Formats: sequence, structure tokens, C-alpha cells
Amino acid sequence: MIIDLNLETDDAAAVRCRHCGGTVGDSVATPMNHALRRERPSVEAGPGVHADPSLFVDRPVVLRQAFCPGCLTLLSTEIVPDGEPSYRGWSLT
Amino acid sequence: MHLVVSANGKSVPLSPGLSGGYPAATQWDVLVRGSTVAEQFAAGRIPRSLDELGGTPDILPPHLETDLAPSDVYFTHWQGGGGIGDPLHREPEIVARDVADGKVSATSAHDVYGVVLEADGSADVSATEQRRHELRHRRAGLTPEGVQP
Repeated sequence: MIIDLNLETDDAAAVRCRHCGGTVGDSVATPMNHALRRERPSVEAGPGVHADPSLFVDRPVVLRQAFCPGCLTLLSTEIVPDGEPSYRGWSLT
Repeated sequence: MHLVVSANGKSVPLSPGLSGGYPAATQWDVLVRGSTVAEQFAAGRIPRSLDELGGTPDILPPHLETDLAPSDVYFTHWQGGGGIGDPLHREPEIVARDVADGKVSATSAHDVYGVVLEADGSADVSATEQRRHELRHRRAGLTPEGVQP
């Protein structure tokens, strides 16, 4: 089953990268448990972040990304206050 | 003139991306007090950036009310929508076309899409492949082979 542009499930219900075939998640209950994850200051997202968030809020704001462990395709990107749960996700169970 | 600014999304973009795509830009409002725009218009010149406006720029908070003087300039950059998919997967020639059309800045093309542009604005395919190889690793916190940390 195709999940999104990057991910699909195989016959064993593991989650695989559609670009390299690498395993991203062992099951639909843990769809991205093998993904590489990185957090850094949101200003490192590029010119779309126009001003340092510390001008507006006390709390750090982070760029949170997940990558395929095989081909390093970017699987998810979000900019969130540090420590907040992800704003967007999906469930396959 | 009275100015009312009311805009969220200045620290956290309000529109997320999909399938790895980046979220929208952050909202950006700048008030330049005491600009030289009137003098520049009189001289037949159109400022092309905030830096060229003269005066004193001030990045505005989400909510503000103030009065504008004749020499003040209010600049606003709306957030737009989030992206879809890994920007390193977008076809280089389409990124080059987006730059030519003013939809993507040259800085974003290089830093986010990993596209190296030729002097004529077309995509340098070989240099883009190298740039994307490096970016693909660096953004994940890895050092690509053959590239200095």
C-alpha cells in the first residue's frame, strides 16, 4: 500500500522507502522507527524562516526532520517549539 | 495613516509540508521608519530591497498598532503554503524555471533544492548532482565521503 510520496508497506506490513526499498519501519505500528532523525534551530531551515524566533517567543523553535536510513530521502519536515509532539502524523493501525 | 498589524506564524509556520516537504515561510512584517523612498522615486529610482530603502528597519511583532509618517514604509511577506516531497527530488530544470519566474529565490535553489545555476540561469546538472550529494548528507547530520566536515 502506498502511504505517501516516499513510503509504502510491503507484503509483511513493514514500511519501506519507495525510492531505495530500505526498511523505514518494522511494522505499521512503528512506521518510522528506523528513520534517521535530526533537530536543529529553525533558522537553519533556509530563507523561508525570515527572522530569529527569539524575537517573538522565549522558547526555542526547532527544525525537526526524519530521513530514510538507506537513501537519506527527506521523509518529514516540521518547525515546532522545542519539545512539542509532532503537529502532523498518520496511523496505519 | 494608522497601521494595524495582526499576523501569526512569525516563529512557527502555520502551514505544514507533506511527504518531507518544508512548511510555509514564516510571516515577516517590517516597518522602515524615515526611509528615503520619496527622494529615490524623485530621482527615478525604485528600491529593490529593504536595504535599499534607507531609514531604520524594525521587525514587527504579531500584533501592533502604530501611526505611519509619509516617509515610513510597511513591508509584509505572506507565508504561502507548505511544500510537497523532498526538495532534492525536484527536477533541476523546473527549479531553474521557478527561479526565472521569481517563484523561488536563487538562495533557496542552492540551499534547499540543491540546484546550482549557470550564469544564464539554467541548471548545471553535474554541479547539482554534487551539491545534492553533499546536502543530502549534511542535512541529516552526516559527512559525505570526499567532503570536508
